Amino acid sequence: MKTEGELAQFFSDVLAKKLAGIERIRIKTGRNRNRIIALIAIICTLLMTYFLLYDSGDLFGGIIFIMPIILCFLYIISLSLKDRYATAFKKEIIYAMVKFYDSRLTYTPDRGILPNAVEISDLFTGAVSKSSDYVEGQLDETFIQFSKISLVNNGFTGIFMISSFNKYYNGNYTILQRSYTGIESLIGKVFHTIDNEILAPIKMENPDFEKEFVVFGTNDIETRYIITPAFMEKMLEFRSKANNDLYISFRRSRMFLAFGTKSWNIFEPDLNKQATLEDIEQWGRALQLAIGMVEEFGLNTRIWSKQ
Amino acid sequence: MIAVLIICGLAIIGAIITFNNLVSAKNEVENANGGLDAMLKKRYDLLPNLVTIVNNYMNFEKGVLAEVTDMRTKRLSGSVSDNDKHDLDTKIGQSMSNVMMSVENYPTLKADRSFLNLQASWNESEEQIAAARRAYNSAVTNYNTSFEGFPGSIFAGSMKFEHKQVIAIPDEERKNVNASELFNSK
Repeated sequence: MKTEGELAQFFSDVLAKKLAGIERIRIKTGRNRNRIIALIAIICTLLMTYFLLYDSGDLFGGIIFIMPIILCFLYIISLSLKDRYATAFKKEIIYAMVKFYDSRLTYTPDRGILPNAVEISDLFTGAVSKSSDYVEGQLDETFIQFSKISLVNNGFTGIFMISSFNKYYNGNYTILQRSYTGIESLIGKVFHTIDNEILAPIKMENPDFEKEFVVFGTNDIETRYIITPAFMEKMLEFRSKANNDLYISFRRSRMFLAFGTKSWNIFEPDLNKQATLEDIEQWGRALQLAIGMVEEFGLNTRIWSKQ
Repeated sequence: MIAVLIICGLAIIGAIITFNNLVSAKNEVENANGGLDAMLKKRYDLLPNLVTIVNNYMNFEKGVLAEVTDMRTKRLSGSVSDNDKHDLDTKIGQSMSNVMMSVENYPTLKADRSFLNLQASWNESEEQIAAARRAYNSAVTNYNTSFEGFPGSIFAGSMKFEHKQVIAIPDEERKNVNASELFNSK
């Protein structure tokens, strides 16, 4: 685990230089975008002047016809320029950050977790609309993979993780946040997939945990075998660090974990300004949470028969 | 007259629901107890093999192992009360936990593949027993609550419901598993 001080040191020693290196690309890309916007504005003005002066009858019709095309064009160009800069930025900065937290991990900016993994997890009903910033790697005994995801019809935006799990289990287990999007609310019933015929709510003995989360499972004893008192404490700590909704499920020998990040902007550079230490710290916290999960939940512990 | 009938009807429905809840709570306890027994059986099936292997290496713990074997025999004899069973289960668990801790002093035992496999199964079994105890305690708490309050208390006497004791969970089961302590061979 890295401290905030170590991250600040890494920022001044490594990231600041890398940021200075790609600053030229940011300025150039921003300038190109501004030029294109100016060019479109000039064309737009000329067209309107033409309609006003020579096409006496149908100025309004002309504007209605031309404006959506111009706006779409503007939007596409703006996105494409931003993407070009974002890819360059992520390959330099986010890659270096991932390696700073754990050199065994690999990072692919334009790839995301597979949509069917979200489906298998049974954590959400919504389909994946966006997914990027994919990280994977073998951390001792545990293989982890995670990426940023955004879901349709759901509002969930955050980090979705999959890891191997160190205990054998046969059933299906789901832990959901007791929030307004949690399973007990009307909204939650739309957002989460709980098969009530198979999974029954299971009351855990930690009152603080019960206030925050609701557990569903196929077997009372196996639920408690997986969700030990220590695991419950760790989840409460994790929830407090993430300061956002946390969801965990156990399916097909794996552990699925999702935590919200409030917005899609995490790991995304701003074309209008250089990334600051505050941005890096915010992204670093999300990376630290995701990567640190292996240590937090003791997933490398191999004292049971599963090796 | 209609009002009286409605009140009587509601009282009967309430009584049926309460009765069913009590029966369900009682069945849950029996079910949880069955689950705990299944996990304990797994432990007691492992124990003879583990004791045999450990006996070959650990001279100083032979007395403890003999004691564990005696406790196992007594536990499986069927002549002990429920409370004594829980006590024996806890004692066996604690004694074996101490034996596992002292494995560190026996490098040859630590390197024995059969022992390592048995030790991993033992750890797994212990954690499953802990889980089963927690499930049992949860069912017992629910059961006790179901007839201690109103209107459950009305039926409790006639149905011979008695307050059940939860199983005391040893402190070490509440803590996180310490891999380096339990499995120093890794």
